[in-house]
Amino acid sequence: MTSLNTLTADDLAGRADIAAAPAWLRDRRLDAAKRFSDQAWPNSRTDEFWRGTRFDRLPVDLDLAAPAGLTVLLPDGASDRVVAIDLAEAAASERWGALVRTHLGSLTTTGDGSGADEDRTVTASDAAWTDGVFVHVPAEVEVGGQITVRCHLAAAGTHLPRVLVVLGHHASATVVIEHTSAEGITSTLVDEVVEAVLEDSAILDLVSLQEWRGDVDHLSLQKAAVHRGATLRHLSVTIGGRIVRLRPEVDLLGQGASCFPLGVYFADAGQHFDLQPTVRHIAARAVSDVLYKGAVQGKAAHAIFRGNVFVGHDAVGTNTNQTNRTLVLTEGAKADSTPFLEIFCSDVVAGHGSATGQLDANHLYYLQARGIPRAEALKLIVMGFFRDVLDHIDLPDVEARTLAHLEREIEVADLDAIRTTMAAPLAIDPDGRG
Amino acid sequence: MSQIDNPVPSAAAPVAAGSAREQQQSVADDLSSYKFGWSDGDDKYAFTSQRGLSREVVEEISRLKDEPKWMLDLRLRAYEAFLRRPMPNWGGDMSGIDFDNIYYFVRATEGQVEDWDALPPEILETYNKLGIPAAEQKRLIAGVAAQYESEVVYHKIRDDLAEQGVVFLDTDTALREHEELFRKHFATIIPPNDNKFAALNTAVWSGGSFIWVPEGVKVDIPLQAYFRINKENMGQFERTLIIAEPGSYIHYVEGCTAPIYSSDSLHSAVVEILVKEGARVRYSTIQNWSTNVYNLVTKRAVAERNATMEWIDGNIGSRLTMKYPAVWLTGEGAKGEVLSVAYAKDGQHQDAGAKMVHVAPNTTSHILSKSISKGAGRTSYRGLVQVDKGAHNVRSSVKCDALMLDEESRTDTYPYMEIESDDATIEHEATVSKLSDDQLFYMQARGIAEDDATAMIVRGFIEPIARELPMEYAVELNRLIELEMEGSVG
Repeated sequence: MTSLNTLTADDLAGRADIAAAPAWLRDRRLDAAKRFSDQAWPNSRTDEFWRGTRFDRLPVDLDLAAPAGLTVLLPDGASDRVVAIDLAEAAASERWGALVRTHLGSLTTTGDGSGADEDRTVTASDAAWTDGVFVHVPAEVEVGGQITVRCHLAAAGTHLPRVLVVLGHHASATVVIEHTSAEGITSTLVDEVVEAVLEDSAILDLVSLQEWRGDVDHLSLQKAAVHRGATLRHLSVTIGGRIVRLRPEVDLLGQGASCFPLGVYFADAGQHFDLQPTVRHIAARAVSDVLYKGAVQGKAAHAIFRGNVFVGHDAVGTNTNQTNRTLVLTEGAKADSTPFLEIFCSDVVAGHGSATGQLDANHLYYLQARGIPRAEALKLIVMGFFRDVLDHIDLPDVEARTLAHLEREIEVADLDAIRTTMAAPLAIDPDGRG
Repeated sequence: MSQIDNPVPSAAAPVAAGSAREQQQSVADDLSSYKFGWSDGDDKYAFTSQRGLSREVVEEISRLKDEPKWMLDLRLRAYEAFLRRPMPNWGGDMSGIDFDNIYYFVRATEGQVEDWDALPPEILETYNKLGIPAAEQKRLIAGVAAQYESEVVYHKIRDDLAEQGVVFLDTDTALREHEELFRKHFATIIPPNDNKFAALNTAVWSGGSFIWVPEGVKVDIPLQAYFRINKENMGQFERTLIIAEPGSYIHYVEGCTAPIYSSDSLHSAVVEILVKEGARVRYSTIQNWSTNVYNLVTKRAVAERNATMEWIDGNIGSRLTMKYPAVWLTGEGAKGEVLSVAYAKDGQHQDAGAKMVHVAPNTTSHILSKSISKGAGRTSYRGLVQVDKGAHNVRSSVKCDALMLDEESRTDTYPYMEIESDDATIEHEATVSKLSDDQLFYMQARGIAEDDATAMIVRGFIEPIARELPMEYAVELNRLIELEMEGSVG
């Protein structure tokens, strides 16, 4: 049995899919395997970005053979305009091989210094990804409806799904990655890498739904390169999973690029979510606005917001904002918020705000005074709190699905245990984003 | 600090006639340089340790001070911890610190005096230039401690305070005269192995202030300490312990300067404060070390029931400052406040902030941080708000604003919020802006010169903190920043 703990270049060289891959891909994977053997696992005591999640709680000794179970669905009538195929197949194909070769790993291993120092969990994917999807929207093609990538796990073990999305210039698309698993699954580690490249003026809505059932641990780097005038909206909805460490990262590489990292999360008893949206302003006059809202409830529920906005020396005229709001609903739950800002350029407008608190007792009183029962009123307030985020992304299906998840979360909550405060500034404040 | 009001301009003023332009130039040159950069000779010093740190150096310091054995044991334990603890892998660039090149203990005079005239003439001259004896005469301060190198050379408290039982001593004397009280509190708020630099301080500490304010006594005029490094490659490790008994009030103010040398000095202080029930302590710092000083300081207060602790922290000097004044709110209803101004110009990094640890219910904290970076200067806000389980009804707000004056300036914000209570209300806000062209234009259009306009904007920016300082310190803070601002806009 091979696990991430015992993985070697020899194991990989012997793997059938790698032996059959084109030479450039085989070489890259084996190079990555060598780097992997030189690296150590992240150390939560010394690595600032692993502070929130103890690496030694993650099962890196599980069998690596399990397939990641990726499928892809296209909207009606899109199949002749959009490419959505198996990643290994695309790499080997005459038609798409060159494009895959250009972009695969371009955000995890090279770039403006922002990929070369990746930790071992990402190198593992570069070396040993098991199942992959390649989505390509050619230049000037606008796809209506959503492209769905399903990652469904039926068996325990280590899964290394890999997704590469490439949008040509002036292309537009919506890609939704659904992460689901069989009920009752245990001992499962997902080490995922998603790369998205947006050429000039492309528009991508990228959604990642963490809907795991059972004890799934999920590490995910979802990294986008946004070129001149292109726009990325990224939404992560984190509901399921035992330990979820999500890194939605964006490099704003071209003038006037923009990105809107959005997040909704709801951690229950025993769940640990470590959400690390990162934006790097490399080019001038780019815009970013991070908005993450979440709730924690139940014993040992723990949500960590770790925002990082970096404004480089040449990023003049940058406009960036970062907002995090967390509701601590019951005793015993924990919320950390660390909205970091690093600015090397004076010509910027930058701000961030964070608030952690409870539901506003005034809102509850208002609704109850109008005859709405307490339970119903609490639900309305919580839904209103989250809806603010979903309003920023115009995807009715995703919105409905997310609200349904949230409703279920509130239904299972012990509503009597939920505290309110007379002093809460943050329950619903669409205009109060600081 | 009116006591260091215009020390050098007065020296520059008498420049004889010359042309008006020459005179202007000399004033401008003078203004753009560090005001406190002179140094005195060190050949008449009473004792200078060898360079570098060893067990023997620690033992020698303790022997010279004729300390009880428990203190020597504590020092040695801390020395072991210093060797064991790693350097911080975050914060500023500390690679320039050469622990082997530093003098860990330097005794400038044979003994402490209560009369300025009894000091060696060159040391007295230094304090005169800094304006401290004059301020004492004007009764702007209730007591003075002047530390020169490792030890306090002048010390005096107003008679009426001494009569009320207020103890204000240098820390070495306090250990001799109040050993029991001292031992009960020393290194209890910041343990010897808290961090590498706290361990270093505990091993080689010397000087600093010891203050004990009896129950109910309110000292309405600040006590003042003045820290001066003179020798090149000096390490200053003062240790301050303040105990405010229930219902008392004290305001302690410290200022720091050093000469400019080509190689570096290290200042690594530890300040422990215990604020008992209903008491209030305000601790103000105007840190203006020269830019060859590494300033790595650990400051922590414990606030008991309904107590109030306020840190007012102005960081203008030093090469690198890493300082995060902390308040542990251990009693119900305790309040903590940090007001922080940082100013970094070329070659400076101010990594400053605050920590608020809410252990008890109904505690509140406020942090206001204002930072200004000019040229290639770098300011960082680094702070923690922690709310422990069971600390109900906690409220905390953090606001940090950064102003960047130049293209190469850099500013960072690293706030940590760790909340383990279901009814805490925590807010954090930060803004970063550059000097507004509109504001500059507005003022220039009204005939205000660009430099003056810039200084006015900066003054307005730090005003919320400057107004919390006693008037003469606020004036000094403004004046320092104005000096630093000269010629800032190209």
